[in-house]
Amino acid sequence: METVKTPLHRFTQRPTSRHTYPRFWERAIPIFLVLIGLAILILLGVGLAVVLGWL
Amino acid sequence: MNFVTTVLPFLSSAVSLLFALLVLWRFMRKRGPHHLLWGIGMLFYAIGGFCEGYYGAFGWNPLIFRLWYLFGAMLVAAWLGQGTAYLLIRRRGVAHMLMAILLIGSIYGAIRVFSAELDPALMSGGLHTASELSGRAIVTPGVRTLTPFFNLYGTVLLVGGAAYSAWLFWRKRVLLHRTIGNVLIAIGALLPAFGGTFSRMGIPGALYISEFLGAVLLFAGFLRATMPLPQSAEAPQVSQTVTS
Repeated sequence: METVKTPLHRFTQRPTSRHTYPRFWERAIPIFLVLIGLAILILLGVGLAVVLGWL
Repeated sequence: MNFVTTVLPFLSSAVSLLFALLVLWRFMRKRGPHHLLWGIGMLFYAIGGFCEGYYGAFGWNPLIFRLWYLFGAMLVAAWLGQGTAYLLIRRRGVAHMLMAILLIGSIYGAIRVFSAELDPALMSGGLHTASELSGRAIVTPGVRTLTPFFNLYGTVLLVGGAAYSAWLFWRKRVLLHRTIGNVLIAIGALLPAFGGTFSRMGIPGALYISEFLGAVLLFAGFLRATMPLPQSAEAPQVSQTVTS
């Protein structure tokens, strides 16, 4: 038995998981999570700039 | 009557109030502290929206401004985030400690906002047309400096907490409705944060539009997370495997 592995396999799947979401959500959710993470970083940067008086 | 500066904030307020009442009703049934804090946070959201709509409809009022700044600009994100803290932080003592700090900070913020000197003329200048409420009306130094600390704390907890929850569910490929709901909550919480940033940079309409969309997505996310999808959509699918 062979499961498909990606570079992020360790973070994206439990070792024994054989289950997936519907195809759309399988692909969309990680994209959303990455974008949300980037947005948080941007807001942190802007907040820091405000506190330091740059903005 | 301008739609963006009057009707839209009242709509945000109505959506937020409805959401708050639903969450507080859940608190009455289940007694989870996160429900109580989210409910209070959404009440703050509703107060902020109402004050914005009031300003758009009736003009300047110092009390309305102070209420808007305190609840809508300063505290809403932090109290919503604190609700997420109670949900996700396992050590209840840590959550209580953060709550105590937030409470003290909120009281201090309230004192500073209600004792601050105001000048509504300062809301117009540069790209600002004074058609929207803006923290620029606060003359007293040091008051506006408090806001980013509350907002950063709340945004990181609320957005980060929702994203973390979504990632946990996605990683295990379970409870799709909660994954989707948490993604919607994270996006809904991000929108007003960016709207406030764009407003500070002088982009008109950004704050009110983002607040309305944020309230809608937060509400939608909460409803999605608490209501499972139909069995066929929710049930995990067995991945294709190659048998040797």
